[in-house]
Amino acid sequence: MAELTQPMREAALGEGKLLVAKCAHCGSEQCFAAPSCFACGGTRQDIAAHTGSGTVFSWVVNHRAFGYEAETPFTVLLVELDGGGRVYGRLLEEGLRSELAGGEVVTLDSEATRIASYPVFSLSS
Amino acid sequence: MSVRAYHGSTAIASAGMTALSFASGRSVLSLAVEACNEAIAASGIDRKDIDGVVTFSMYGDSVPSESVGGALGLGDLSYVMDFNQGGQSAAYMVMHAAMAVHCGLAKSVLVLRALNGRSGIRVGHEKASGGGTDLRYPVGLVAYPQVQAMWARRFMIETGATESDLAAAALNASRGGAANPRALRRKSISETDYFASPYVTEPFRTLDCTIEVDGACAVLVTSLERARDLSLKPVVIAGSGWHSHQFDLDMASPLTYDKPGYNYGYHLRHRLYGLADLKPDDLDVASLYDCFTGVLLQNIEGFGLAGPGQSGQLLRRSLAGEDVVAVNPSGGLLAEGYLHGMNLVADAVWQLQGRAGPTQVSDAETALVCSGGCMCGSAMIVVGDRR
Repeated sequence: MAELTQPMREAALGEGKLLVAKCAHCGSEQCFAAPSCFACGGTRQDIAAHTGSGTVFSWVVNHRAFGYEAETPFTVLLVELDGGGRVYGRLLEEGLRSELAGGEVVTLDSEATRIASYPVFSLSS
Repeated sequence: MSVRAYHGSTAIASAGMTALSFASGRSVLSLAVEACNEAIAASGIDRKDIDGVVTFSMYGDSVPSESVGGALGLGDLSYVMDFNQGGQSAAYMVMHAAMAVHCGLAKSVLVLRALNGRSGIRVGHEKASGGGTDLRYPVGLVAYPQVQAMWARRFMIETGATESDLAAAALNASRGGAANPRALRRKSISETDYFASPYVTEPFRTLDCTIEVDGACAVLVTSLERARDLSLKPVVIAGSGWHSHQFDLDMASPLTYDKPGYNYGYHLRHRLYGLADLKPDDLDVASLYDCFTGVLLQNIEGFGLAGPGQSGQLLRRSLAGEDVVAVNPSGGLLAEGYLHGMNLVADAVWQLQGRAGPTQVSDAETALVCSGGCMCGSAMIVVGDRR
């Protein structure tokens, strides 16, 4: 039995990796710290680094953000990873934000993720 | 399974509300007492006949129900509830009061929301518990409008809704607010004004977001039989329910929800309309939770007042003067201010009692009220007493 915890998740991000927990009962994947699978309640999870490949599920462009004023405007993505788990992240290519329509293929940029300590995705060409 | 229970046999007897402001200069208890006293006076009830108080809060921003009962001089209480779930609560709290009355736990129950939401604890600045913020804050998703904008964008992707549809929601609110003396946003706006409004978090502009306010609002819930002995026309609770679908870590967190285009209303509506034996077409008034324009569009579609992607068109038809259901005739939370949906309950009550003043919908007899957005919320259908 394993549990994806927030310290584990953050430590992996600091190494440029995104951890995902796959439920040993139903196979659902989730990318946030939790003691169990939110699809079936199963408590046995297999934790591994995700490939980082997914699609844009939704996104916003922040023009105001407390504590992040120096960075505005910036794009925040909600990415649906291959396998079904969702995760928030930033977009590496800020200039392309207005062209998003949802569904774009994105890939985790490991180096940018390691530096930022949060997921940073790049639009796949 | 039938849950007829209190439906059809309990009613809202009256509503009361303070003025809304950005700085009340008063305690939350003082606001609560004023709103409750207004509801008590409007109903004509002897306050010693009130034995229940139900209230809700968010981030500890209100006062205990028992202290409200004490400050009102109600005497001994037999039912209280303090619920800490913010915007999904208002209709749910009325349901709880009705359940208490139906089960004999109380005879008459005040349901209220009171807060200094602008000059005191501001919900937009507080950190939710549950772990969702551990994921959102590091990437700069630090306030509720941003979380809701993420839902709205996904709703737009799934249904084809556009920023012009968000504009229709803002214009609908503006029309109500301009006519509503209680509203804090009273300026009448055009679509040009809307698109000139600065972005806060795309796709939301300033005019897509409610305004945090100080104030209080209360309604009195009792049996239909008792309500008929009071001063005003009873507003009968014909159907009600609460629903949560694929909740993950905290409210509006979209990490597991399957289709954000279909919010909790979609999952609740068949039960709700079935209990009331009504259809969306039968509604005169829809008093729908609208902390943001996107939430209003999702509630319109969730509760079946328009098909997927058609909510903006429904509002444009209303704005053009067509005879369609009146959505938030007083401007809703977007124009009036953010009393976490309790003011939407009060407005539905006033509409059915013919007491809505300049925003009165003529011959209003049926209303839908909903509280909440995204994956969880409550709703009720109320009808004028046809005795």
